[in-house]
Amino acid sequence: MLFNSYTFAMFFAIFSALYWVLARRVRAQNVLIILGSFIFYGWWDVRFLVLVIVSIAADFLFGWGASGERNRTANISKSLAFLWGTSLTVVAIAGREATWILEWLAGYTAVLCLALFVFENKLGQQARRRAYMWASVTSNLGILGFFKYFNFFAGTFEQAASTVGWHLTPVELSIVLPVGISFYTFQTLSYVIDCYRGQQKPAAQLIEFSSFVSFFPQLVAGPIERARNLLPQFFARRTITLDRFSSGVWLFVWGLCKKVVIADNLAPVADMVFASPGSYASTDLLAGLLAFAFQIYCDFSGYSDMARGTARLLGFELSLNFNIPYIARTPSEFWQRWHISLSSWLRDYLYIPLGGNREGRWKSYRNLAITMLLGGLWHGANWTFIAWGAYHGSVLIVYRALGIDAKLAQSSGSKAIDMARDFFAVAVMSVILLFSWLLFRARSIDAVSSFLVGFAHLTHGDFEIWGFILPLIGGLVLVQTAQVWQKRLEIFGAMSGIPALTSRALVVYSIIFLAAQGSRQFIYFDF
Amino acid sequence: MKALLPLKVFAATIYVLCLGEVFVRLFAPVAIMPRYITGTSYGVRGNIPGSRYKHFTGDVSVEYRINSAGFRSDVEYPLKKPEGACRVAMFGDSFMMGYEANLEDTIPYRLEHAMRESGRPCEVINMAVSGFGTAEMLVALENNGLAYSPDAIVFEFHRTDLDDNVRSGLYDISDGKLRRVRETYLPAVSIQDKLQGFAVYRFLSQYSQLYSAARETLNARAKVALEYLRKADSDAGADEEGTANDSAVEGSDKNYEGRLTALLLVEAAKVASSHGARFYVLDIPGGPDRQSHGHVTSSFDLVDQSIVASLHVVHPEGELDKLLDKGVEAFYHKGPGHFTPSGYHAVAAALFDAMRTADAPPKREETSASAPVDTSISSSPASSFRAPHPARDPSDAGH
Repeated sequence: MLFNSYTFAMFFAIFSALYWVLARRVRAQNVLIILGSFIFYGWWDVRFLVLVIVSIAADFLFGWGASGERNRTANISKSLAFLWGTSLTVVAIAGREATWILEWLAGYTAVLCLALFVFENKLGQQARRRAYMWASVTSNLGILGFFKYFNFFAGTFEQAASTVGWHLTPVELSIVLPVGISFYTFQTLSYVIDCYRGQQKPAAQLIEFSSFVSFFPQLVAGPIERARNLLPQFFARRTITLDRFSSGVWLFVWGLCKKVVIADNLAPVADMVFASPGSYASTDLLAGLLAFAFQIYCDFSGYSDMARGTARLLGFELSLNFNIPYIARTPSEFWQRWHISLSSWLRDYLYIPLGGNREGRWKSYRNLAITMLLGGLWHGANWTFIAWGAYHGSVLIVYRALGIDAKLAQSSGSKAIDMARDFFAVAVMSVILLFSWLLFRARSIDAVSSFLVGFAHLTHGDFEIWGFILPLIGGLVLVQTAQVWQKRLEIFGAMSGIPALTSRALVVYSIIFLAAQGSRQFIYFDF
Repeated sequence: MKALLPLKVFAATIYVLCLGEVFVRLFAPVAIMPRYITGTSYGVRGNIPGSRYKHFTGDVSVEYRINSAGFRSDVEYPLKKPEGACRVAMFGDSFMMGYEANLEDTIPYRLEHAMRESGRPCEVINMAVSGFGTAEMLVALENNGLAYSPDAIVFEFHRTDLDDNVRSGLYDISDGKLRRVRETYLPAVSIQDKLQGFAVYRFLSQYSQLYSAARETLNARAKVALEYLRKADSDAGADEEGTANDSAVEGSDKNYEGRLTALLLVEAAKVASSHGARFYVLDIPGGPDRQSHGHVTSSFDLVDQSIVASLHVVHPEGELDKLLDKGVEAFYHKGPGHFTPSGYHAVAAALFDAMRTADAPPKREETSASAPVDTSISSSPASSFRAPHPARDPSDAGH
């Protein structure tokens, strides 16, 4: 179910009406959230739900174990009852062709029970905690790895083997990537690791934990929430004030505008240019690349805004995921502004455990490189994503080696010079980012070369594409300038009087009259 | 302060609407094309008699003058045809009515002019109503058109008719035959009749781009919603029959539209024939695009050809392509894409040419305005369009 669809509008109208009828009953609201989230997610393919269910049931137990608590029979029974009860319902809805899921589930349950038996009866407390944590890592990354990377690694291995003379029979399974698998997998993984580190108490109730994992506003494309921020909200009574309602609505509307007006109108331009870069002049290639840079930003940040707005309308507060990233002066600033929930996840659960910058300069460079490579791979199984991650890692290392962040943090004493220096830094960063989007969007390394060859020709087209994309980008730049000026991201909900009336009317008119035809899926649903 | 609240709300509303008008004119300009439509005594839509209004598109501004009988014309036509006179009744939608064209450039006007020039003067009555499909044309022919005793009847066919004919629900197919199932089809007419009573509405519909854009957006959304519901309905039907195959259902929908339209045209031909009038179908082709390599494409190919084999169909594609080959625009691009005056002239020329050579056996033909004049036509103008013999039942043809 897409946020930008009539189906979602109908779903949310019915859901929120029922939800607020149950305003005094937190537990009932949580049950409704689980039900609503399962409908929302199952709308794509009801079979995918089994993966969410497995993640909930297993990580609920792993969280308890990793925190040092014993998994009592009641917990295990609840978890297994939930796993099988909901999975059987899913299989009943999916029909006969989905019965293989039950066989797979029986195997998974057997392994899970065996692990629980061994962990609870054969291990001491510290070993048990560690075992639960690693069980969660193995289970989550195993599922993620299988669905996302199996074909990629099987293909790569087969190619590598053939270069040394081993000709293997190609094993390629027709695996469909379940929507948003990387997001909820990382969310549950961080929960268990936090329990292990003693930074998070395990969820007391399965219902609240299920609501936390499956919460539909952020289930399929984030923000990747930390349990310490979101989980307590499922235990508290929710209230909504007129101000919160208004800010939630305008956050959603602005996100919708970014998606349907800017991203979806820029998308055909980017698609067209990237489909055959060889047939475009250099200026058109640049326009296509710029179109993609703003398409992906408005697509993803638009989704995040809609997710946060929807959650706020239900009385929840999700974390900020984008903070005007294209005004970043350095790569590290960029990653503090772009997909913040993933960047901070990679920092806390990968970069710092690897040693961070505590073990000397060279090891910190190594850690940066590994973190960014894996960050690239998180986006998908393709060499271009790995190249994208490697490129970002290299840029971060160069900036750190030259101490650019530290230099920019110092004032020259003159405001004008500081501004000019910042402007130059943003301009350089923009060029760096544009190249990174080329690596990200291109289907293959060959396509990247063909794009670069096209740039090198330095030819110019008729600027028709520029005439189309500049007004769209210009509109966004205007709004973001106002956000920077007011030092506030949610300007539409915060303004009053004529400026509020004018800006809100313009956003709504844009959605009504300038929205691209048809609903287009969000780019990050594929990751 | 509370007393000022209604005033503030009013002022804010006016401000937002004015802002919207400016926004649409700057960023999403649309054609202002109000439809002056009302209900008729025979249950389908008709032009509001005596109305005068304008259309403003990015290409042209055109005035429409509707006579007291609801036809686009400056002339009043008596019901009783003068002795020995010849009459042609033309039915269609906005193309036949001549949207985006002055009266002198419309197909009926050009046809009348061509006939007069050729020495066979004939009254050509423009009975078209924007938005009509074949089903509504047939109802209008039976209940109004025949009363003018036409010697020839022309039905325009445009690809939108396929969908319109199903949506109107006036006819369906039962046991392979056409069946009238609904007496009236007056979508939103009662609302529009009421709104027409307000001067503010008339002003907005005539001059506001914001209103036009909102109306078009709503229309488009409503059509999508209707289509969605219809597809859901047919999917459910297909599921019940155990043939849950999307492409098959879609395919059968298209076949149904094509068959229904074909049967409607055949029925119209039968009605014309039983009143001694010749019947022509005028194909309004789709504009050139990338797929058609810059050429116009026939709309009539979408109709079930096995049913309409006996009809006299006029294909103006050749004439229009000639224009395009010369670099002359045949269609406008900024508005809803009707013909330019050159396009209308070319279609009228093709129709005139086909009517001149109407004694030829009915078959698909690419016509040419430069074809030699058929001298076999009788000196009596009226007789030239009379059906030479009672047509056989066209529904027997093909199946």
